[in-house]
Amino acid sequence: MYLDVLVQALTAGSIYALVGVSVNVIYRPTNTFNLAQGNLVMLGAILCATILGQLKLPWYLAAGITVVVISGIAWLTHLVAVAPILSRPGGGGHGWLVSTLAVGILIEDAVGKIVGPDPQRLPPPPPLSTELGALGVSSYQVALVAGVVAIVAALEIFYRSRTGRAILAIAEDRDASLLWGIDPTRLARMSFVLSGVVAALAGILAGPVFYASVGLGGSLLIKGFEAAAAGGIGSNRGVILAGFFIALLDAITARALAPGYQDAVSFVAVLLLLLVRPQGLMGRTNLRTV
Amino acid sequence: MRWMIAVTAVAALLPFGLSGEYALLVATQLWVFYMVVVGLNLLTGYGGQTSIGHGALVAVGAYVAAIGMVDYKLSFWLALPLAMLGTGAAGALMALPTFRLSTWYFALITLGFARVISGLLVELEPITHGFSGVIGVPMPRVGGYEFSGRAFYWLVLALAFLAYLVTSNLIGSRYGRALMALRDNPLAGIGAGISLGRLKIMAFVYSAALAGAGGAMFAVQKTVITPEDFTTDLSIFFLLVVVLGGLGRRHGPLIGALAFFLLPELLTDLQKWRMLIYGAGLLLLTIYAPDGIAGALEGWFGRFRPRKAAASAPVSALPQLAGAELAVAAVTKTFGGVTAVADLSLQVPAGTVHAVVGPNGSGKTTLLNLITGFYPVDGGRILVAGTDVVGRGATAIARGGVRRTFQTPKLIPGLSVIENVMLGAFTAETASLAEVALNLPRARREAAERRAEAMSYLRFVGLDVRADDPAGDIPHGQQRLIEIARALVGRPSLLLLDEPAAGLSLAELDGLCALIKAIAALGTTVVIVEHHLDLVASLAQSVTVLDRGHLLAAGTPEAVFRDPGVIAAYMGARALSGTEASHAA
Repeated sequence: MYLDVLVQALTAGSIYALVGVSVNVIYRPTNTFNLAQGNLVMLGAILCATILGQLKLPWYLAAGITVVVISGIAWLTHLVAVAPILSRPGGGGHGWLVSTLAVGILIEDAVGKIVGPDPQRLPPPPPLSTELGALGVSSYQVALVAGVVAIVAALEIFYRSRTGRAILAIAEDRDASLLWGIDPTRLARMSFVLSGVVAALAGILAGPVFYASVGLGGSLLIKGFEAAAAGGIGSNRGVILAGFFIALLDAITARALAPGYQDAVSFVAVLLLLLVRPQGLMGRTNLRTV
Repeated sequence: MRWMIAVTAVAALLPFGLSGEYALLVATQLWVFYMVVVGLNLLTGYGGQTSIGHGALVAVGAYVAAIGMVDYKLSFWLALPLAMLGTGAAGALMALPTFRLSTWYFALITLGFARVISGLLVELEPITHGFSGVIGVPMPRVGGYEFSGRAFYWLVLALAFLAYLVTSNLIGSRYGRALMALRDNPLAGIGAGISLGRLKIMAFVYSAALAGAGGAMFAVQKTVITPEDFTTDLSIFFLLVVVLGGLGRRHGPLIGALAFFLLPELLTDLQKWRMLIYGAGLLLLTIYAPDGIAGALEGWFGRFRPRKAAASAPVSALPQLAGAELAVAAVTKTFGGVTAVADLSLQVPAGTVHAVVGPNGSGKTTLLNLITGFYPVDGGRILVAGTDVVGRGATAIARGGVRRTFQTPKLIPGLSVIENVMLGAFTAETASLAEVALNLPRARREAAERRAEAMSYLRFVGLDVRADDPAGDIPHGQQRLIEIARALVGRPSLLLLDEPAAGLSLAELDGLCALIKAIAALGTTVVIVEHHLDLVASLAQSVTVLDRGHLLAAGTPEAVFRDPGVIAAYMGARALSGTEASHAA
């Protein structure tokens, strides 16, 4: 009874966390937020399901193609909608909010036109299954949580590498890193591609547990943002923690009230948290502004 | 203003020329949406706070009004203010958490709010009637008279004009200038003592209230409202109209709304492709025409318009300023593991000029940021006129009469030179928001006084001839003078200048030297962070030399610049030993 709430929270929470982490990947070097991120995740789930259903390719090949396509779209998003604005004198204000929102609208509408509103079913990769086993947990759910942990661990290892540290250096001080010969635009582009990879993986992993439908993008964008903001922008550990908390709150609300209230309850909870702790659970306040 | 009156007059005559109810319906809807977009333009265009959820605010307004009128039999004249109050409160709740947060949080919070509202409209069925919506919203009445058809159109038009008027007054006031500071250069606003958090909330509540009024009109016009009327598309539509018309342009909302509604045929035929068109439109506009149609028109016509001659605004005499004593006692600041300022103390008597010098990275600017509250202090006390200011926050310290300039001048490029200076007097104005919004006599008188005052400080720094030029067109060296005028207009008791001579030519340097002497003669205490030792020697009564965060020497310029430790820090120890060696030889 309580166990299935917990299992549900762990499953959904890992997806929220992964979307939040993909947000962090872009935020670190660019201080921007891709509003198309939710729709990239959605497209990842639908694309993978479509390739499997229509072309009957092997599961892992379909997933590989999906990752390549989604990260390509993320690269294009940076090229078309973000880089031109960030290169304006003064950083172009917050124009990227509107331009990435527009990219998200285009993706969502195109998918809606081509695939239609019906949810797609993405099967889990063999040999895993979504059949509930002992303790009410499926083998896929176990693999999902482990997969998310592995992806985040891989990212953390990447940030210890030379390139990874350069990305963190830009986040700290853009001008100083220019003096060190670091090219912020190149690393921003790289980060968009990387976040596309994470978004695609999030979509593929979400497919078998959520229904892969057009509406998924909008809701995952908000959940991912909530996880990132509540956890502390830039802190992957905080984002994972917050992702699970939000999913747990959702599961409890759905059980105690009605599923229709879960968005409202977690939204208000995140707002309250930000009111008390603007930097989130594990974020740090950035002081050097002048 | 003239334009808006002309357009409103034409619009008022429109019902006589229109045939059919459908055309009148479309025209009414135009002015309903215009009202919403005017509020969105203040928030997003001028304040730079992107709202992606304005449709949800319209929904809240529409439902409050509709439920009030249908289920509680309230009159329209009560339901309208209730709708504005309801959305205003929702807006305040949403904006409150973003008080201290970066702008993009706000955008996502509005997006999340929109999702939550669209869910609740269905979920809260006992109140909202779920999918079937609220049916039979009556038309407004006065006694036995019913505002329907043309009469309702004129009512909407009148309210839209009122919304324009009030918004226009706000934008032209100190609030408008502060909003543009929030958008373009928040640090400049904080330095002028403006509480940006409160300003954000105010802007959002105002724009939410206008969306609420629009919602109430929308409900009346449609007579039936359902959750279907308020999808995400509506929010995107409002955003597109304001971006198309021109963000932060006074007539942007009008141009955007007209452009949209003059092409209704296009939209009905291409209904299926609407979101694709919205998306492509938003993307192309943000990349290629971020200033929208209004911005493009300004660009074309601006070339032919003769430059305005320098304003002959009256100039008032400069008042004497009461200098405050500054005492820094054992102040420490570390960043991570790096100690930027270590156990530093200094004393500046009231009304004197004190210089802080030292090599790059010695902690000079950090010290200035600690005194002005831009960085929190890790330990020690900072007394201004005997009052400890540690922990009071940059805005409060600026309000207390401590003003500063920045190493790279922080001006608002979209404001004129004189408006940038007037920003510094934000906290001195006493006219209430209501007085400003309605442009009542006291607000007008005060605005004129502020302008005259700003003009006199501009003349003081020698830039009165450029008063009406956009600040973005001013060369770097003069931008610094504008910043000084902005600091002075706040009547500082303590003025801190961060490297005012950096990048100036020799001739400009002489002018700056004379200017700082004149500022000191006004009575205020001046602390100057500077590399230029000649300037320091001729200006300062006392000098503090920093090296890697530590106090190296303090005293009169003559004594300090002869100190071997100081020479070593500045010229390098080897240069010093080199001179000694050559002396010995």
